[in-house]
Amino acid sequence: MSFVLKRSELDQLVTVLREDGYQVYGPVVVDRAIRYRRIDSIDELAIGVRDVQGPGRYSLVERADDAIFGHTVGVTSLKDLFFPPRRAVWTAARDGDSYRFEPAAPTGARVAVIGARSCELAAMSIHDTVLLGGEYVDADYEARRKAGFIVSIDCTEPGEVCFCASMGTGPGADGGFDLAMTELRVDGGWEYVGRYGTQRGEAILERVEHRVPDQIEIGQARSAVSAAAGAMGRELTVTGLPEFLASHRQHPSWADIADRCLACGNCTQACPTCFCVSTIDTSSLDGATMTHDVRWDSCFSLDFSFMGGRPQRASIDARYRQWLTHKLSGWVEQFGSSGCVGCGRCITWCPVGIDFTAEIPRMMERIDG
Amino acid sequence: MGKPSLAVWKFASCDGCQLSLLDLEDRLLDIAEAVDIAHFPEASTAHADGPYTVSLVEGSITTPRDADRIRAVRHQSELVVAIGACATAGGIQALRNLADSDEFVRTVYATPTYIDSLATSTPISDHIEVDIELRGCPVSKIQLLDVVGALLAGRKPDLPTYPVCIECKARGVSCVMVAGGIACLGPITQAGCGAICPAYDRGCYGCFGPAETVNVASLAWQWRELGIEDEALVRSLRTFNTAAPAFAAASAAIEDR
Repeated sequence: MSFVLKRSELDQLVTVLREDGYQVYGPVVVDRAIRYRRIDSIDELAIGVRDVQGPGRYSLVERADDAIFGHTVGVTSLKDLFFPPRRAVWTAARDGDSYRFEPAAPTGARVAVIGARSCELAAMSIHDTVLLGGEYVDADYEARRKAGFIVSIDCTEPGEVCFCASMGTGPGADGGFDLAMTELRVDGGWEYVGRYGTQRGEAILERVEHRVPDQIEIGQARSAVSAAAGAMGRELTVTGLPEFLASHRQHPSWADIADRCLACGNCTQACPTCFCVSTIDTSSLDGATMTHDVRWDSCFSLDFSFMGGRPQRASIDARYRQWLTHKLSGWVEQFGSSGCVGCGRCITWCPVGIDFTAEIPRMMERIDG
Repeated sequence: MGKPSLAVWKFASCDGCQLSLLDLEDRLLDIAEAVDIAHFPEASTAHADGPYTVSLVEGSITTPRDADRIRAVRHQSELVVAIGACATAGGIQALRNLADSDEFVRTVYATPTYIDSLATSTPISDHIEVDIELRGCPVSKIQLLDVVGALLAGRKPDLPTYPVCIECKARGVSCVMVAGGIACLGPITQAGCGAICPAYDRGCYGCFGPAETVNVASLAWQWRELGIEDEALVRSLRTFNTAAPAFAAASAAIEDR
């Protein structure tokens, strides 16, 4: 089943979602980059803008046309919306000589996202496994996920740091959306050739003017996405990679990378799948109430491996190795997939531009040579 | 049992950190409710003698008299919290540590009879045992309030030692260095400010001092890529935290190269 929207009808979709009580988010230019921000209309989106990304480099340029989704992923991801940087887990209130503990109230926020990319849906599916698939379920994440509505946009113009085709996570979305669309230039205008992912998606779209696409339009959308798969800026050979990393913990390249690595943690914070957190307690000055929060942390922080009176990963190479081998190797064993979706954020937002798609082949060559 | 007492002490400083405490405005009454404010020169001339439960110490040690005075503070205080870049690293006045302070005195004062200063400006922890250090020029009032609350509740204060970058990303701020080509000390500077400067599209200028891990050689390489000379990096490292060991060593190493 599929549909086509005109641009004005895409705006109707935003209106319908808002009528249903959703907070609608989409890619917006904020300061110098694209990030998810709440919108009331598609006019607020990053229209006519293309992002130029590279290792440690990001800039926005004007497009020749006024495509709404003519850019790739921004600095933030769905993680920021569904697994926010800080949230309360429980609160405690003094009750006589003891404290009464209450789980944090579940978020009432219903978030709808317009313009999520397939790599981000893959990342969210990984979060589902990690945060909901085990013995302990992250109730806050679960509530946000259940309430969320996802409209994904297929990528037709991958960027310089994109390698979702290598990771099998894009450029078109296979699932994990309520509605998915391809933005197509047709006769000087724009069409959004879409497909349904859920009944909920169908129910929402019923309330938006639309028509059924012809086979030519469906074919055009498909070929735009498959052409994009061949236009990735980066690639990564994943066959044998988990085994390679697991068996080369003493490789000399780790120290070379550590010479450049700032241990700043930008890669982990920008990564749509990194989920490590630490806990923080706060209290009112009179001690009547306390709050226990979780906050994003990073395996690059010293405190994160503090055990037995000292950080277990004191050197930068130990920390970089931990991050990369967990992401690309240990993750497979632990969660059944790679922890990388090929979005390239860790490459772009590394202030010194460390690019593991370049480092890994170099490491392999050093062994072979 | 009486209320815990709080004393605020000033050494060589601009009073900005004390002002951060006053700037808590709507929380001041809660603080006054929770503790007896025994000494706080920026706020009041009233003074109560010690001992004190908590002493907040602003400023660095720059005179022989202050070197004695800080020992008296320690003696009377259960807990000493050094607040701000002066108290934790010697402040901007520690630039004198790199120069001939006698020459400054001769140049500035016609008759320097009453000038009795030390050749260096040093952090409080060089003189006495310090229980907690709050970084920043000035300190973050949120951290200041959190520390007071933590000490009252007997819990651990929230003082992360990772870099500012973590707070930038948590705020959803795009990196000013990556997206703007702006020189930023964020990757080597300790968090705690909430990434104020990058949120206003400026580079971090390092007022919270060195983060737990400092790789200045790599940052210098990146700044050169952005067209910023090493000399500018040395100047950036020699501001509020010029004498913080990691910044001092890094700026000297770049200069020696």
